[in-house]
Amino acid sequence: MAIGVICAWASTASAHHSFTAEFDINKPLKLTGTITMVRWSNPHGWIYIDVKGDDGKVVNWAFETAAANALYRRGTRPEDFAVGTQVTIDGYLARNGTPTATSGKLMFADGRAITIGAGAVAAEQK
Amino acid sequence: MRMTKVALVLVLSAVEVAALSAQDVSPTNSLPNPYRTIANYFQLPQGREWGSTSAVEIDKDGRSIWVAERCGANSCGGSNLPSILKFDPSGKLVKSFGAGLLIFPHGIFVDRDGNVWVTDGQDDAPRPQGTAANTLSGPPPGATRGNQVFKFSPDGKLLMTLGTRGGAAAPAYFYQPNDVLVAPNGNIFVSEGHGGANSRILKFSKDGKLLKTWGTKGSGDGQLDGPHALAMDSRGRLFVGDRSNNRIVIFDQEGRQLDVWRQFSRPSGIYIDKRDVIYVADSESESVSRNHDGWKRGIRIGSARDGSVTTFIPDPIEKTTGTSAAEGVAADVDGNVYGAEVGPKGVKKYVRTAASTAKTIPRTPDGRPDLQGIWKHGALPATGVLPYLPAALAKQRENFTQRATADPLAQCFLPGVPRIMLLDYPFQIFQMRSALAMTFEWQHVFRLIYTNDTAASTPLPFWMGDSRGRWDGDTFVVDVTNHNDRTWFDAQGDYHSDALHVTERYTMVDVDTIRYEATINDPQVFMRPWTITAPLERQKKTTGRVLEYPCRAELEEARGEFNREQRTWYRKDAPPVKPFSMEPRAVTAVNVDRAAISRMPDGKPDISGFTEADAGGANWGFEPHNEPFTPGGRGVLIDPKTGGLPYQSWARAEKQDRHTNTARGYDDPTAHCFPGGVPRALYVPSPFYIIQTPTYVVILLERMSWRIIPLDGRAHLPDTIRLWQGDSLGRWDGDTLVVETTNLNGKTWLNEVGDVISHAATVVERFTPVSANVIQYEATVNDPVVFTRPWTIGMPLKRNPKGELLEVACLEDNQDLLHLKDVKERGIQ
Repeated sequence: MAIGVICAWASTASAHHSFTAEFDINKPLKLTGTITMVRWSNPHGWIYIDVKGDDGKVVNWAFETAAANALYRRGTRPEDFAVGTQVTIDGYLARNGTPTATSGKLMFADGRAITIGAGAVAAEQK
Repeated sequence: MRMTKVALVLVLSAVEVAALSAQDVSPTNSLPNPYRTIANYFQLPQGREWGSTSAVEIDKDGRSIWVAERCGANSCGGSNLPSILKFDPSGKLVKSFGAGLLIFPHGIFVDRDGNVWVTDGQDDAPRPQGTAANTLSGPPPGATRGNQVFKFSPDGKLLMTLGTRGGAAAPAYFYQPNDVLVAPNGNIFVSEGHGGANSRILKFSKDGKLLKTWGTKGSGDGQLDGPHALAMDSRGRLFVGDRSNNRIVIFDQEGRQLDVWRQFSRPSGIYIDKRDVIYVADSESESVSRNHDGWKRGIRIGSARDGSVTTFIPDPIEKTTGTSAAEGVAADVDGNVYGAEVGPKGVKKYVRTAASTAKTIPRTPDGRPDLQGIWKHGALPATGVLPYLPAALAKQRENFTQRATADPLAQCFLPGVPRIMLLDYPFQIFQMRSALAMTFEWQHVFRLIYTNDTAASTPLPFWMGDSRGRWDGDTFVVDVTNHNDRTWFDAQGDYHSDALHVTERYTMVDVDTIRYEATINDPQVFMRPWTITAPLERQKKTTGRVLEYPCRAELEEARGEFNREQRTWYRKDAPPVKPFSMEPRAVTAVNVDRAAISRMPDGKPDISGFTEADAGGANWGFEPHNEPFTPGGRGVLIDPKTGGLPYQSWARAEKQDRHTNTARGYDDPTAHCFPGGVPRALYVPSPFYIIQTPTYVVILLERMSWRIIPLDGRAHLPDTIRLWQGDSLGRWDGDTLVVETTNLNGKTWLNEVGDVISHAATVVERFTPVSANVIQYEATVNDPVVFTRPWTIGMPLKRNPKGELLEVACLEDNQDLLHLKDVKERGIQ
């Protein structure tokens, strides 16, 4: 599809707000859990995973993704993220003190990986 | 001597004419008739013949037709046929009632609840030989039925009866009630007297209590002679067809006479539609009545507002001595006219001929109706009962209970289709061969309707759905699919599922009116499809612009959730600011492949289509950067080449604070989903779609906002009108589109790092096509409040001929703003 050509420059960062104000580049994280909910939405999507901590307590984490439209134009589809699937997501912690993070890559148990983040590309370049 | 006498006669004649003209007007016979007659449109059951009828009316739905008919003859006396008949718009009989109840159904009215009112204009008394009816003010002895007014439910249940059976003399009313009308407040008006000694109007309260009467028989001021018909205009004026006086008398609802009109001829029937078009039926001039010679019988159509007569449907029968042509008249929401005839018996339908429409509506160069212009819906039909599935009805009731907060529009979410078409805000239509665009004043919503024989290209659900249009003759038909299940049809909680399929039909009725029809098909919620119709009316008394109602920004500013920057926003009391004087700027030298540039029929470059800025990171900041969370940017500043933006010191400090203080992330208007402003709207990381006509360039921004750029040389809006997207005017300078934007509101930021722009900015943008699908874009910002001199950024815009816009409903899930608010309020770092 011609849309793929557009993607070379488009929509890598669908920011509508300052990421630095919302997330902390000094607090990278990588968490493994099971998908509980996917919000395929704009201006950003959200993937929620249940993560079991060292103390055995389960915390539901929210990972912000790129805009649904940006994901779609990259070839990602809502059905790529079935509830109950175990995934590992890397990203950066939000500044507001809740279990929230912006995302970079999402990795499945079989090793497949999808870049789901809005700011991920730049973060990887660092 | 002889010469003198002739001259004298002429002078006398002139005086006579002058004296008459105070009371009389010339016959209005020579008017266009753009209607075609359909004689046998309405089908009666097998074996039933049409009798006389003077009573025709349109149902509450705007399309179905009610007729009260005299049982195959000119009286229902002795007949057991139902006299009150309802036909669907196709002419099929769908309901009938009233058997054995009425003698002489004469006038009919459907009130706003859909109840059907009928007058019974005669009685069943034996008429002794030689009894002249016109000497009576009450029925002769022996009457057992007739002379009453009946109110029926839409299903034919008798709800109320006015008058006594068989009739009574005044003041115990009625004798010969001609017509009935229910005012919007429920008061009931009846006109009485059909040759009898009485001629008056009776006014009742909605529960049938007589409030007052006025009028005596005669031809003087305040008198009536055979008030045969009643109608009411949108201002609440009561029009009385004072038939035997060959005039319409207009009263207020207290009986004060307001005007007398003779130009609609001898009125047997009057109908006034919701747009105040008046239809008047004359069935007696030059036949029954010989005191009105020179006037032709037929239906005259004109304006109830100014009394002009514009159209005449003549009686095809030229010479007759009896009643001929329609006595009763009505018109449906589509403008079809119905005439109920006593003499010829039956009801005729009159439809506008295609030729007459074809001549009067504007057309595009390719021959399609030209729908372009600024529109808003006119009178909305009363909402009937929607055919909900039983389970779905419960959900609707729950929505209704919670409507104050649950209505998606309370949050300024996108309204969906057809609701956006029926909001009380104007919108503008732009028409290209491959697409038609609508830009709405409400919250910068737009619709992009592809007309290139494509179907929805994604399975994604959208608030506004996916619209694909096609032409069915002169009607523009739009299929809207891919809805989400979050919008409502109205503020009452009427809703749908994501299985919704809306089919819209746009038919231009005349140069200023589009008939709009939306058929709703949602088998998960409704038992059957249903249709809503409304006229779209051309908005002439506007600034010639669709302005902005930024619903969400207004809401958040009112709640104190967004604070405009005091030093940049426009205040009416601020002293005027003069822009820096500026030489016209040439576009930066680039290689232009002129031969590759596609062109419009007028020779201008074709810049239309799906386009995205290769923005060089401009939405983050204008300088070269390689920052966390954002792709590296090559920088877009063309002038000045070094030293960054030429800030005044206060503005440089403000920008620095926005950039480094994380608490300020909340203050960026785009984080609130407000429009980006100019020039930012073009380099926020979302594509846009350019619509181009000879007189407009329109930019539809995927983040659900738009810019309208007129090319017709008009002047800017008054200084006091301030807009998020400003007021843009364009002109072609060779192959470069030059756009000047002023009237900005000064509430926007230029990018995420917080570069500052104020209301005083004049932004000059240049769009120069340089190859088949690349436009060199440059924007010069001239803002003396913030900077020490003008500056310019530039970047290529790249077109993808196959690209389609999706929809960014930015408000639908804007959790970032809540996080930024946490950071701002709690200072969590």
